[in-house]
Amino acid sequence: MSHESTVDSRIPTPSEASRRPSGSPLGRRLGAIGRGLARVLLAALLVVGVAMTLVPQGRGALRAAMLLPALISASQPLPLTVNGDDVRHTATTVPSQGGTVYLDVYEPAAATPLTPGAREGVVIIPGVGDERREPQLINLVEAMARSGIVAMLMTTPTLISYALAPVDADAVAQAVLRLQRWPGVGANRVGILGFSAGGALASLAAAQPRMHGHIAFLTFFGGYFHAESLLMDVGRRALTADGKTQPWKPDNVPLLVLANTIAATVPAQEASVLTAAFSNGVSPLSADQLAQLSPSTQAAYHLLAGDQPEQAAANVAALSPAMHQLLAALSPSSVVQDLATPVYLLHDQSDPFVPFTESRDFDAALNRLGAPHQFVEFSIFQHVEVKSGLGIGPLIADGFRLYRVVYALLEPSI
Amino acid sequence: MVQLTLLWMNVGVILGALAQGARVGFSARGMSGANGWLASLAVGVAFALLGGWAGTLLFGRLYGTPTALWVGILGVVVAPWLWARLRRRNIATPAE
Repeated sequence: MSHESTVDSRIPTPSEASRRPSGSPLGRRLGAIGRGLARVLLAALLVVGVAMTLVPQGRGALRAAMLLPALISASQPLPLTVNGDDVRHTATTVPSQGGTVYLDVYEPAAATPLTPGAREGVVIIPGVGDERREPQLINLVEAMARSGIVAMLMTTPTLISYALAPVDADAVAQAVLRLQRWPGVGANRVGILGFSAGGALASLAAAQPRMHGHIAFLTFFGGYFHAESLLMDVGRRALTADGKTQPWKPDNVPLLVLANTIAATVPAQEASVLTAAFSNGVSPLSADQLAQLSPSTQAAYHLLAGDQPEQAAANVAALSPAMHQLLAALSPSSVVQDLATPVYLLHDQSDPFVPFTESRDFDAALNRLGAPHQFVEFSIFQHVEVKSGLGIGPLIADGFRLYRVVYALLEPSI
Repeated sequence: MVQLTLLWMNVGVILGALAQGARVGFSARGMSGANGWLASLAVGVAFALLGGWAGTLLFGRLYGTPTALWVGILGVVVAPWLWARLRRRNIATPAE
């Protein structure tokens, strides 16, 4: 007997083993089906595993999928909490031309992985007010940190006091520069995510010559493009979309922010009257109080109070040169030609804080310039937070749109 | 990491069982009885752990489990094949 025949008799090949007659015909048939299913499952899991680790686009797709639930709900998916990094929170400050900048950094506690060698950083401007403890925002930044991104929340005393100032663009720039020097963060992988009015400050900062080439992307969620057209829509309590004018009732917060912001250009006594009228909803001024205000401050008041919607254009024209100058200085429209980085515009169509037509105007301007950008309109958000009680249909439709944007944002860093 | 390590061990056990069910594990390569099952499960666990830790080191913790998955599958399919091949060679060329 040769060696070959001895080996063959002791070690059957898998195909030979599977041909062995055993049990009833039905049992053999079921066994074959189970065997086939197990092989298909193994092959499918192999392909999925390889795609999600060795293929850069697959890694980006996995990370975007892990982040999506944190964006459209106030929760993190179980796979992310189990597989994601532990989160380290650091609170710090940096000086800026406008005063102290408050920074809250959420980062992975683990060491930086060998691939790609440096982490992506995102400076997040949550808008006006002190949103640093807002649960949905904390959930988002923790989800980002779990998925390997260093997220930096930033705010300033001006933003916390519900106002905007052009000088805060320097605060954003200082935050970006600080994050670029953060351990483990790739200097060319820092982008900005600006919510609401935070988007305007982000664009003002990104347009500064010293920031060119330093910002990986700009994302604006529910932001405005031109402060004067925003004020016009507030004044006429309407917006124009697709050639049709429709009623639009602004929330009280943008009225307060605009009042506080414009108040910086008027004498202190007028400023206190103007801001008091919008500090707690709209408190109409009496005829005597109005008579104490200058014509330009009266025009600003009427725009914010919405009591002269037919004269909105005239009231905008009646604003003082200082007011016009301030509104222009706070507008991305003034610097759009200087944005040398990809821009992502996100806006909900029923936004009561900023009309979604502002992002349409931004999109149109970027189209005219041929600048790289994406614009997505949603229907599931209440300004920048997800509405409650939504059906599965809108969540899936908007979730898919949002997924594509998140994937595009993360793609350069994978 | 303890939680993740346990997860990867479970993944390895499942992959070993799947390999046995698919008739590509150690039993199908000639290892008899319970030994075939034990070897497949053990190899599944070992390779899944190896993949999980390597994936975490290379790509970050988020990618540890997907890496454990495909490295574990490679282990439970390739290791029995290699074992059978080596065994054939050893039997075919016995020591003098």
